[in-house]
Amino acid sequence: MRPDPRTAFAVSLLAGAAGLASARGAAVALGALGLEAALAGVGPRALAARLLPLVSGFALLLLLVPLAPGPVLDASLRGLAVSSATVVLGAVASWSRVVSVLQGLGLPRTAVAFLVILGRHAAGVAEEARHAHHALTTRGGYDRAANLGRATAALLARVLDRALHRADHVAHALELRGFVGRVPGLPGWRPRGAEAAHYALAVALGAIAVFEAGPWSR
Amino acid sequence: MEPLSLSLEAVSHRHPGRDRDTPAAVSLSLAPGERALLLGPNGAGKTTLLLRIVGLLDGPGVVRVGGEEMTGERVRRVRRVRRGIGFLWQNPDDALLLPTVIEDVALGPVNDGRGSEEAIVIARGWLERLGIASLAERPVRELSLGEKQMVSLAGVLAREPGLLLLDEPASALDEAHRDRLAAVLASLPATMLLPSHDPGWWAGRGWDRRVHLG
Repeated sequence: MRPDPRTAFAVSLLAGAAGLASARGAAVALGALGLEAALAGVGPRALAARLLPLVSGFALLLLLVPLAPGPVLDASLRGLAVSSATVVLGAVASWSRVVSVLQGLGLPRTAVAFLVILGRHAAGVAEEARHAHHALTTRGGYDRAANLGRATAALLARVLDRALHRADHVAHALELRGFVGRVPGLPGWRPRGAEAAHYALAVALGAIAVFEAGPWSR
Repeated sequence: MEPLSLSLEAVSHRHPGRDRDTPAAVSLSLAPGERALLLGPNGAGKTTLLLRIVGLLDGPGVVRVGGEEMTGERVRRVRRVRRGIGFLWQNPDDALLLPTVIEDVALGPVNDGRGSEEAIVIARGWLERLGIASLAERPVRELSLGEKQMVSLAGVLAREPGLLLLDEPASALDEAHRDRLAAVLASLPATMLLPSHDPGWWAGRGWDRRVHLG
């Protein structure tokens, strides 16, 4: 079951804090985030698809783990934990709900507007890429290996062109819809028994963050 | 909101690289509550004219909405007047912003200063009125083009505008949704201008005034 966006936000925030505290905290946070995704019903494939681009960035460092000096390994693990916390939050709660949580925490309107528009454009670019890929596939763009480079260039050019063109339309549409940086807020928060496992995760991550950051852990 | 008058005096627009104006010197006047179809071949400038009316494009001629001039120079006044205009884009994807239908339709009222719960109630009311209440919790990206068009319209109507500019609102709708759309529009007090390639369908449904472009 998908948790309330505020619960998901708390879990990710505390996972990020645990990850920042120490490499050991980061390792625990990564495991906890996997559990959080599973509890929320995000399948391993869906999660892997989201994490793959992220992990690939850290892959080189991870491959060098046996040779890496302590600080590099530490930094990699911590960075991966913090980034994964963001990715898992995006998988568990929709972007706009996360923005609603931040709005509820007092994020200024300009920042809310920026995040909403950023999310809208990211979705728009992904959609354009999918459409362009479908168009190229149905028109034989990938039929011959020799065409692959040209097809990829055409895809990128179209995505860029359409994304820029649409950005103008979206900006105008937002203005005409009276958008001034507010999104619908979330209903009042109430504890729910069905979210007990998520609360337990949040408490555990909070405890780990405090323990790992404290002087007694050194 | 009270219906707003609309007046255009010799409004033209020339797109960069073109050798003629589209539209060219359009003049028309709509009294508050009056509605008209905007007719013309592809490329005659119907959408451009709507963009001129809301002040997103500049050019020769004078546009007045509710008696106030819409020029690009007086940004604050233009924005205030725009608050009373509902603009439906031909491509609904351009206007849909939030991931679920109910959130997106509630966006306008929330930004007009309504509380979130009130905005959601307003949004549900418009979804019901348009016969698409069952879509409320659906992700926008999973909707068909016709459903997106109806959701986009609900988002426009949720702000209760006094002037509606609806760019081909029925182009992707099936017959049942077209009928529902026509019935809802007929029940609204707002002034309306509606570009269409299908005047025969709208005739007899309260859209007997026609403005020809090109």
